[in-house]
Amino acid sequence: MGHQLLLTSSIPHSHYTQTVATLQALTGSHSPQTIATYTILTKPKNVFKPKFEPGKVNQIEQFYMKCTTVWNDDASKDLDIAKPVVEGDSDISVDRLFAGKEVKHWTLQIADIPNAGKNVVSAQNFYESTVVHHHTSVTEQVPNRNLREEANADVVEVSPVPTPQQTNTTDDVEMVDTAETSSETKDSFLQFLDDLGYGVVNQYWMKGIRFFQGDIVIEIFKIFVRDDDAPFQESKIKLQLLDDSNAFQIKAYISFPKGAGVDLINKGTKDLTTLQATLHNLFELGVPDRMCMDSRVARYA
Amino acid sequence: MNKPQQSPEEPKLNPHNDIPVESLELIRNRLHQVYQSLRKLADQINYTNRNPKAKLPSYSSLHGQFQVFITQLHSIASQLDHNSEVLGSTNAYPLPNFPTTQHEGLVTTLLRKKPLPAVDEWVDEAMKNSEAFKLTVEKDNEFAEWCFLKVKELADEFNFDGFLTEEDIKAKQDESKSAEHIEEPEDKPFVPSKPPMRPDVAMKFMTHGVLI
Repeated sequence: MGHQLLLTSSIPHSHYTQTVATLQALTGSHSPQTIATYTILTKPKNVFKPKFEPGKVNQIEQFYMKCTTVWNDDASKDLDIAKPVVEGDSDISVDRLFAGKEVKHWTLQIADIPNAGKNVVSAQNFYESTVVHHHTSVTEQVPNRNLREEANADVVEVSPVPTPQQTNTTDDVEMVDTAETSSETKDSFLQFLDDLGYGVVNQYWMKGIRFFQGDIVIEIFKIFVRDDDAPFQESKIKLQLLDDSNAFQIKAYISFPKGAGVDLINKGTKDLTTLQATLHNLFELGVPDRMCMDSRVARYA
Repeated sequence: MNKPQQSPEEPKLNPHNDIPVESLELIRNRLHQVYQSLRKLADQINYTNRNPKAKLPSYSSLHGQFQVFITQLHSIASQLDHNSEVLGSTNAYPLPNFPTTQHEGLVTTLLRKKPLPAVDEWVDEAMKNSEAFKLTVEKDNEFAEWCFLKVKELADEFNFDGFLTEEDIKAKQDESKSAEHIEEPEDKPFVPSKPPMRPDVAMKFMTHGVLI
C-alpha cells in the first residue's frame, strides 16, 4: 500500500517552453526525465454480490485497475512533445503492443477514492504491484472480442476478485499448442487479465517529462488515445491526442510507502503547498475533484 | 644600523648631555621594521631555494610585501633627512664606565662610521646598475598609461557573460539541436483551437477510461 498526495494543473501548449525553462531553473536539473507509458484500464468483469449477512461487512467495493508498462517503440522515440500535434498533419503509429514476443514489466495499480473533506491537497491510498510478463499469443477462447469492447459483465456470484498483491510472482508462460489451428489469437497478458477477472475498458499512451523537486515529482505530459477514424493498419495503431487543444496536463505528487507517519505526510502536504505557492504565476496547481478520481466500480441498482 | 643602539643607556647616565634621543629612537624603530621585512622576504625566497618542490609565494603577496618595504624605506629616508643636521654633528663615544675591555669587539662595531668594504661595493654596484636602465619618470608614466589602455582595448574585444566560453556554448547548441528539442525555436506559434482540457477531465479519463 502506498499513499499519494497530488495536485494537478494544465498549461496550454504555448506555455510549454517557458514552463520547462522555469522548472529547470527551479529544480536545477538541465535534462528532465522522460515519461513514455502505455496504460490499459481494466475493470472487474463479474459483479461481486456478497450474500447479505447481518453483523458482517457488507459494503465491499470493486475497483478499476490500471496496468501500466513502458512505451518504448520507435513512435515513442520519434514523438516530440514540444511540437504541437496537429490533426491530419502528424502521424503517430505505435506498434501493436501484443504483436511480438517479449518480456514486459507491468505495474498493476488499484487506487482508493481520495480522502473526503476539505483538503489542501488530494490524498489517496493505492495498492500496486509489478509483475513480469512474457508475452506470447494464446488462442482466443471467446471469439470476436476486441480491445475496445467493454467486457460483458454477466451477473454471477463469484468469490472476491483477487487483488494484484496475490499475483506478485512471475507468470508462467502460457504456451500455445501450435498444432491447434485457430484464426483468433490474443495476447497472453490479456488472457492473464481475463483469468484474473478483469476486462479491458480503454487504453491510453502518455508522453512527457518529469522533474524532481525534493520529494515532489512534477510531471508534464500529454495523453494519446487510439485514433478510431484511421484506416486499419497491420501491426500498427494510429494515435491521436485525447485533448485536441494540445494542452499539457501537469501532476505534482509525493508518494509515501506503506506506514508512513503522519508527520511525514504533513510535511509532504506542506512541501506541496509551498510548491503551489512558488509556481503560482506559472501554472495554478489545484486539488483535483475527488469524484473524478473515484475508481470504484459503479454499483448496479 | 649600529649607531642608534648605544642610545638607550645614555640618557640615564648623562642627563645633562644633549643627546638627540627622540631622533635616534625614531630611526631605530624604522630600521627595525625594515630589518624585519627584509628578513621575511629573504626567508620566503630562501625557502623555495631549499625546497625546489615548494611553490614560490604568489606574485600578489610578494608584491604587497615589497610595497610595504618600499614605504618603510621611504619613511626612514625622510627621517634621516629630517635629522641630518643633528646626526651630522653628533659624535658617539663610549662612557667611562663602559666595560671596554670585555666588549672590545662590540665597541669597535658600535663606533664604526665607515661602511664595510663589501657594503661600499654594493652601493657602487647599485649606483652603476641604476644608471644603466634609468628611465625618466615621464617615460615610465607614459608606459604605464599605454599598458592600461592596451589592457582595456583587449578586454573590450571579449564579452564577459556567464561561465561558458563561446566554444562551449556553440557545442551545446549543436548538441541540443540534434538531441534536445526544448530550445529549438518554433517557426510559427501554435494556436490551439479550443481551451485546454481541465485537469479533472483528464484525471477522470485516466481513472475510468471515459470522458465525462
